[in-house]
Amino acid sequence: MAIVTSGYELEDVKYRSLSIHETDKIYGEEVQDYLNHIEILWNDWTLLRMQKISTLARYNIPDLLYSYLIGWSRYYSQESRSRERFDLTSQIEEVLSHLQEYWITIPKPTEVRYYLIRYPDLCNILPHICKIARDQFGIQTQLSLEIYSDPEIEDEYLTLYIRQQDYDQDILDKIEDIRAQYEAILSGKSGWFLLTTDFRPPK
Amino acid sequence: MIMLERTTVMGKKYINDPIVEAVSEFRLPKDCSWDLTVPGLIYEKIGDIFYNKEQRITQNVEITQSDKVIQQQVTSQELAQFLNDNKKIFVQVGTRLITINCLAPYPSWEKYMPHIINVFKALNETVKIDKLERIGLRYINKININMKSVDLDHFFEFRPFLGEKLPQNLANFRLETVFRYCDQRDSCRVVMANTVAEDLESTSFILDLDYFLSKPRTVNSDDAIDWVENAHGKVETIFEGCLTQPLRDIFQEEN
Repeated sequence: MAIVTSGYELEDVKYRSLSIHETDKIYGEEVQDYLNHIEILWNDWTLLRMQKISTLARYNIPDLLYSYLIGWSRYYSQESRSRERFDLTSQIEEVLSHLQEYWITIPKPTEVRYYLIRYPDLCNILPHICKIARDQFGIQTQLSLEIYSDPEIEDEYLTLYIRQQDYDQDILDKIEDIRAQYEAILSGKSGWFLLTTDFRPPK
Repeated sequence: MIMLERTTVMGKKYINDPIVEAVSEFRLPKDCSWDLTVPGLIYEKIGDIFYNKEQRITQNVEITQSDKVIQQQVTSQELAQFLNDNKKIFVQVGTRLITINCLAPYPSWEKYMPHIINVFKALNETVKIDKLERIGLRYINKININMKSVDLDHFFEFRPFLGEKLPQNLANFRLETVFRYCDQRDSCRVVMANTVAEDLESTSFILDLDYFLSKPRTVNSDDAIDWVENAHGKVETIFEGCLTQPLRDIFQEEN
């Protein structure tokens, strides 16, 4: 488990932000309480998203929990230098494992792995986009991550297909909404990502 | 002369080699002089083999603590990448950092090591190096077993242990341990975890072996290559120690 904490004191009130890789089994409830109010995605030392300090909730933290967290953050500080990653594989495998948490179907993982090896800068944004899509469409919709090959121009896209048993009337509007959220961060990436539907039934 | 603990285990070679990536890494101390021309100068020395040029940005998180405040800082580092003809072996150059990565199919140690030697030589000729801040040799294996459900005890000697009062069916797991070597100068982090399988009828695991210099500035540049050679022997020993014979049979040892 990894815990990283930032602590601030403003006007005698303690503010805390926490990044937590897994829920702590001992302090499960207190830790889970934070997760409900502080949206921080933490994927094995890579910070994906963090809310502003001003939105942190106010809590009274048990001293023992704080000491525990300080201990973990010191441990992380010593170990963090050895955790900087210069390989491609672990980042890709962690992303694929992370996507499983959002019930993303990956029919051909080898093809997706190969695409991400060629375009690893998509790794950081992929879980974020998949989470938005899952939140938007719910668990009944199949989200399938595949490689689309354009036969006419020999191009390939990493594609997240939205597939439903009975398609929503406004599915295209929903897809456009999600696209608007991520298009800006896609610019400059070496690979290409597409969110779409082919109106086929879930596989 | 650096301290070495020689092993007597000869490396085995497998037909179905599970290595998906090998990474050799050299990091220099902060007081080592470095400027923006260094990647270009290194490229001039290795560009006959690593002539393809690309760039990559990595993100790192640094934790600092001062007074009552602990802060986390996300920093980005731009790496120059120099790749060989098939882009399976490539060199990454960052600030005071150089790596030599080798993607699957892994050619063999005898073919990978010369690249490490040549790249480190290029670095040594470009930048004045006294001692190394960090040296690392990492092997990432992806192990595919053509079974929907796998008895870990049958295939692995490095696996999570579950007491009889616990559920025995694991959904996901990640096991990590660190071994110390050479009077605690070196460490080897071994990570095993399940990962997304190739298909619905198989199960896949990652076995990640990262042998590194954990005491900075305890190895001179003259001894760096010997360190790497020794690290390779250690990694091989640990790798073999993680396997059972049934798993070796899946890998199919070369005669």
